[in-house]
Amino acid sequence: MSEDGDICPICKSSRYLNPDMKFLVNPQCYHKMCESCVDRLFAYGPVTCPHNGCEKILRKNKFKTQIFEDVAVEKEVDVRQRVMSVMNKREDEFDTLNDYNAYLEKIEDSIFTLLNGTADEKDALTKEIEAYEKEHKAEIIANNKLRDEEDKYEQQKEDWMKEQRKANYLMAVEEQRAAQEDKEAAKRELVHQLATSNKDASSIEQNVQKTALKRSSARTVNFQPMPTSRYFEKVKKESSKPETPFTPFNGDRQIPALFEVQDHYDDKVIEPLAHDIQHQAGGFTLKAAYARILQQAFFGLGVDVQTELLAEENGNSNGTAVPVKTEEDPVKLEEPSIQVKVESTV
Amino acid sequence: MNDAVMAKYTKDKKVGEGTFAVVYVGKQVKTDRKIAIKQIKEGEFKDGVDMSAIREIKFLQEIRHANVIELIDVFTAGPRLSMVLEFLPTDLEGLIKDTKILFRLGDVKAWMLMATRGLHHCHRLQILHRDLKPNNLLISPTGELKIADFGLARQMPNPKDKMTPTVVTRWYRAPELLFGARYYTPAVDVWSLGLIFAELMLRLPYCPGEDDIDQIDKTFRAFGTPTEEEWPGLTSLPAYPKTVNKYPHPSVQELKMRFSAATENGLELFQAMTELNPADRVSCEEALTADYFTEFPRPTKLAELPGRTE
Repeated sequence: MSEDGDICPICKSSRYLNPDMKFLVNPQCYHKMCESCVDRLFAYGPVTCPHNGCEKILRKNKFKTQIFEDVAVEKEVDVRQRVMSVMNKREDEFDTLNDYNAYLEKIEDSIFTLLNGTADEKDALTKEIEAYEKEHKAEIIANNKLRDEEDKYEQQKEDWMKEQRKANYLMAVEEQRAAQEDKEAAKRELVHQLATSNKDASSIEQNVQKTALKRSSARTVNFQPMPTSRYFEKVKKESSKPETPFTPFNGDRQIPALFEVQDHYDDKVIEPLAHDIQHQAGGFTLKAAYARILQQAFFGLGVDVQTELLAEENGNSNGTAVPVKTEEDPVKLEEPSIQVKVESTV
Repeated sequence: MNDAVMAKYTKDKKVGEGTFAVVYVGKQVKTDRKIAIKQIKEGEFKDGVDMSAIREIKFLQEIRHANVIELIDVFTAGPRLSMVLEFLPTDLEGLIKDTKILFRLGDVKAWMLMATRGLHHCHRLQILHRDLKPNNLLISPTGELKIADFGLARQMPNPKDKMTPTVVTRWYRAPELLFGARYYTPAVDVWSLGLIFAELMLRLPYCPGEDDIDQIDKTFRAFGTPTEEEWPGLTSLPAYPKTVNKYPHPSVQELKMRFSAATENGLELFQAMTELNPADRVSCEEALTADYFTEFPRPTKLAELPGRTE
């Protein structure tokens, strides 16, 4: 390590005298100073950098230990971390690989500009990134979470592979040993049978070989399947095929009603309920009540049961496309006391 | 005829037992389609069948929608009533509690979309569900979400009809029900859906009250204490407590803190669904056209949703 690397440029104390000395840098200007200088100079709030000619205002809480010896590398790592924490879209959010590559290119360009651009360029880009971060906060958080999850899974996968490799090795050793044993046992068996049995020698040999083969094939190595995570199932996207447009009702929006709800009806039964405090507090509104009563009265109108049954018999019943119907008896609802003036639009 | 219906299905294995029913899995003999048979237990009802079973059959027969459980058949075996239902192996509660599964923004959106579509269909058929909770939102093998358990469902009331306020599982109970309102609206279901939305984002129940009193306090703490001006008639509701703790309504900033991953449009929909005054709460139709559903990211496609088993 060079001499000046161990001397604080501010207080000139050296590591030789103080072995516990730690150097810190501030990401504002990356000028190096020792920990006691930081404590001393910035104890009462932000002050300009003590290095000659540096005008940056530094805060104590932003100081950190330098990880890389080269300040340029340290700086780039910091900038990269910052940019990547905001521009963290994932590959499966893009339709084509080209789009994703373009996005990666954009990230690199941004990092380059932040490191090497003019002050104006840097300023503009920083603002842009901040604005983007504000606007897409939810996505960014979600993506970061997903990335952490993936990292964790990757780690698990690595551990698993290591374990598996070890197990495989042990298994191979064991197998070799067992095979050797089998071979010897077969040999012994052969000698024994040849000595004791009065069968034909070649048939004995064949028999012994057969049982030995059976035994060795019974020792099959059973591999465990790799645990899968759904984040790993790559979503295959066909870029050329457009997605179906969003339909909130799934193509099942209410068909236009045959009636229109009026603002006012000459009605002595339901209208007073609107002034009843108990009804009011329960969420009762006249408009909704009238709409509901009218809907009840019109239930089943415009439904042709015959066609529906026919369609069902032909096997192409489309339960969602037919108008709404219930077996509610409309007559029951038309109590004489409810004087609802219906003005049908048909 | 009853035996003929029964012969169409096989009963293979018992998979669950609740207070009211035993559930078996089986097959439709003709098509080999997997089905569930819900066999209603003989309850304390001396004459006739359990009320909730009647309700369930009555309403499920009317509803046919991709996001509502399908009732395929009904038959009786001896004194017991059996319902043949679509086979739905998973429910949303199980997914929420499974910490190994990470929910993406699009997943939550897809589930909310399917649940709202299903509820919208119930409401336009003038059916109140009155027991929406993650446990009752089932997931089909292909990932489709379906509303189930119509045991507390009811036809929307005629004017002047009183209804019981003791419906909906406590954590998902709308404030007007907590205060004992007897004339309530479909908005009670929308409230439950709003709390399910919050639970999907947080992976924890949003208002887990320990008892009815605590539920009111937790609700106010989460959404602010409403005033008589914001909600006319509030204080005259039968069970409105004499003293309530005053909490401020959470600001947009505060909500963003609570739901860090939610987008602004998502929070807007959540707020609209959990409006304290039921008259101000959105309807399902309005909720479906909210910007939340159209903004990025798109709702996750069925084939990529967690919880599917095929």
